[in-house]
This record gives sequence, structure tokens and C-alpha cells, in this order.
Amino acid sequence: MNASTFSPGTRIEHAAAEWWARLRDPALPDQALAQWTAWLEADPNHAAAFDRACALAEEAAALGGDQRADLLARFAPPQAPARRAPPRLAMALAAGIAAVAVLGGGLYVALKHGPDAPQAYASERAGHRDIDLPDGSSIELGGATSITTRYGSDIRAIDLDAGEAFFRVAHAERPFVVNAGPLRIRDLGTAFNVRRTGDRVTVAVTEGRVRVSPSADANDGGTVELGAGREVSFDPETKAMRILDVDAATATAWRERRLEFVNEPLSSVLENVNRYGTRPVRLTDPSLARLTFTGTVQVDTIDSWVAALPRVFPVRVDTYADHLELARQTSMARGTKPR
Amino acid sequence: MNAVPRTMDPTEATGAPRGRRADQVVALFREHNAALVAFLRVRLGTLADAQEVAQEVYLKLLTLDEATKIDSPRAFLFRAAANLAVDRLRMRNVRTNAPVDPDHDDWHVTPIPEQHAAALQQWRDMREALDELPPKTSRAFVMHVIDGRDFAAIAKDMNLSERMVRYHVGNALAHCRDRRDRAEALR
Repeated sequence: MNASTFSPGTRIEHAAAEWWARLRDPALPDQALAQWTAWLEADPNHAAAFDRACALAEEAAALGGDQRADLLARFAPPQAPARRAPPRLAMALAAGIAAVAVLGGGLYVALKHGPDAPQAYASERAGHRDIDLPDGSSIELGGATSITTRYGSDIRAIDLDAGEAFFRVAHAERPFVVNAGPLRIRDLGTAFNVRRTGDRVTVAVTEGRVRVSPSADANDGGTVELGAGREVSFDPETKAMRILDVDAATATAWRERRLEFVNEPLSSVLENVNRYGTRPVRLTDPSLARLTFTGTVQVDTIDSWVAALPRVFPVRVDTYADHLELARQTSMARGTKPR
Repeated sequence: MNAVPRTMDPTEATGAPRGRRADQVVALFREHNAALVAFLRVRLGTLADAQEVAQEVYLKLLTLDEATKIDSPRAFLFRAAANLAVDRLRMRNVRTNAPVDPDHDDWHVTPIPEQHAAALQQWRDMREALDELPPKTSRAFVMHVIDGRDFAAIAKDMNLSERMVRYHVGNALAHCRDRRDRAEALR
């Protein structure tokens, strides 16, 4: 597409889209049809713009499964109870919408005993939850994530028990500390993301600075300070902390419903993916856990990602009603079919 | 980008004798074929079906009795096209409502993630573009274009006039198109 098609043409584009919508009306009057024909035949740019409007509408209509369900749930959720018995397809669709609608919710378990009493928050699988804290800080929880906040008079402490969260910290006297298993992250006025998969922890800083230290070391030995655009990963096997450059958008891609991995063991990738998928994926062969994956997983199309794994890894996908299994591929046979 | 209609001259397609009727059909084809195909494309949702049905329209006209007088050939052409399009959509519905063959599922032909990239990009762009619109506008668009519901049903659901629904759908389509063009100019 060259640039010249849109700068002088937005008015034409708009007319084309309006005509497209009018022509969709089965009761289009003959007179309007004649006007449209005249418009279309008056200028080849009109015809071209009209074709392009058609092409976009067709593209939208052709969107499949998950993507279609996502747009329906997001922009056209059902408003009132159904007035008539919906056909089978519509019912399946409605189930999809219901499943997606739940994702927005998440769970909130308040242990409200006092202003500084610990509060536990959890999101459901595939959920996404925003938490506003009393000090003006905010936390975004990814899928299947649980945290506990403990605000004391001299410290703001957060335990990340499992999952992934993005922290935006309001500056205050009391330090803001996140405990994520083996790592302790101390904020120095900032925004950062923490992903915890068992004892594998990755901290990425998008603004400001944080100090990351091993939780076990009370003296902050082995502390690293990270600035914006840097990420540290703790590998529980080697006990090593690896520092990398990271793009802020990549580090918090999950907020846009994408999970991004760089050289991550397959076991850890699956644990993260399972925080979003409807059916958990398990590894039957521990040797598969050491395969490493680099790439992007769309949270909304996990099933097709899993289905495609046999093309990049020596694995077979076995499908069960409530979960999927990845087994080592032993023969030329393709994976068994679902159900 | 502008698809060139590949419909053949209807008289060549049928080898029909060149009578008055045939001359009339050829004239209609020369003058309005692009518009006819575009019209059918809107109604049917694919260019290929539009071209096929356009052929049927010409055939229908060619086989009309020479004595049948047509007052407004252009109006007649489009009316015949609209009727054939309705038939075609009905046929399609019969096919999609047929019982699903349990052994036929597309799971094993799922493309690899890289091949999904284009569709995912389209979906993401569309989601972003729709996010920028008033909720009624994006709702009308999604209900009509993606869910395939007609204006009357949407009007009822949204408690709007059909004219407003059409207006919202057109606006949303224009906005999505504009966003896509700007994105493609940058890529």
C-alpha cells in the first residue's frame, strides 16, 4: 500500500465504507443503488476504495475461533437474556463468550481486619486484575497469580506467591519490597514486572530503578541494581542471576495478552502458558523440560500454539478431556487427534 | 489492490447467438460489470462468489424471452443479482447447518505459529481500532460484520433505528480501514 492512497483519500475511504454499509441493507432502494453506481463509476479511485472497504470487512468476517470470540465478547457482549432458543452454533458461541467474560473478573479475597492487615489477592486462570493500593501504588495481576500485601508503618511488603505481576510504585518514605521466592526486589521509585514460576524469577524494570537481592541473604549480598530497560533472571538450577537488556513492551507483553519467552525451559514456558489456557498442558517426559523455547504465545490462541508444537519440537500432543500431554515423539506418527 | 474482474464477456461464455437481447446484455456488461461484481461482493462476502453469481445473472438475462420488455435494464440487472445472491446465501446456510462430521476437524491442519502471524496482526489491529471508537459504533460493527447479524436484529438489540446501525457500521469500517492504511504505510 503506498502512502498516496490515504492522504487525499480519507474522504473517499469514508464514502466507500458508508456505501458498503448501505449496500448491506437488503431493502436498499433502487434510487440509492443508482446513486451508488454513479459514484462508483465516476472515478477509478472510488472503485479502488470500495474494493478495499470490502476486503477489510471480509477479513473481519473471516476471523476464526478464538479471535472472533474475543471480539464478540469484548465489543458485543449479550445485553439481555435470550428471547428465543438459540441455535446450536450460537450456544457454543455463547459458552465461549461466557468463558471469556469470566476472565475479566478474577478473585478478590479480602482479609480485612484493619488498615495494615495482610490482604490476599488472586486472579483466576486467564484472568487479569488491577489492584489499587491505598498508598497510590498499583499492581496488575496476570493469569493465575496470587499475592499478599502487608503494609506496615515502616515497610510496604508484597509477597508474590505465584504468577506474574506488574508493579507501579508510588514514591514514599516506606520502602516497597516484593518477595518473590528466592529473590527480594526493593523498589527505588519505579515500575517493574515480576514473573515467578516456582523458584524461577524474572524481574524486568520499565521505569526507574530497583534493587534485587537473594531473599536468603539478610545482608543484601549478591545485590544487583537494575535500571529501566534491564531484566534479571534467577535460575534455580544454577542459582545464577543473569542480567539482560529488555524492551519494556516485551517485558510486560502479558498485559497485551501475549507471553514472550527468550530461551526459557519448556517446563517453565508451559507453567506460564497454563496460567492462561483452559486445559493445562503437562510434560510426560522430564527430558522434554530442558528444551528451550523462544517466541511469543498469544494468550487467546493457546490451543493452536500447542497443536503446532510438534512441528518445532520432537513431541506429540495427546489430548484428554481436561488436559493435554506432551510426550516425546517416538515414531513418524503424528500426534493423536483430540477427544 | 483493485481486483480486476475476470468475468468473461457473457456472449463468449455461452456462444449465444447475437440477437437484440444479447446486444443488450453485452452493453450492460460493458457498462456495469464492475459495479455488479462489487454489489454482489458486498452481499456475498467473497469476490469469487460475486463473480460466479454475476455470470449467472448474465445467463439469466440471455435466456430471457426476446419479447420480454425491460424498462430499466440497469435496475433489472441489479434486481436479478440481488435475488440470485439471496438464493446463494440460502444454499450456503443449508451447508453450514448440515450435521458436523465428527472425524473432520481442522485440528491437524492448524498452521504453524508463524503463519498465524498475519491473522493475529489483523485481529490485534482491529481490536485496537475498535477500542478507539464509541461502544455503540464498535458493537454495531462487530454484531454485523463479525457475528453476521442483520441490521434489523441489531437495531432491536441496541434499541436504535436501522439507519443508525448502518451509520455506526459504516463509521467503524471507515475507521478500521484508515487505521490499517496508516499501519501499512509505516510497516
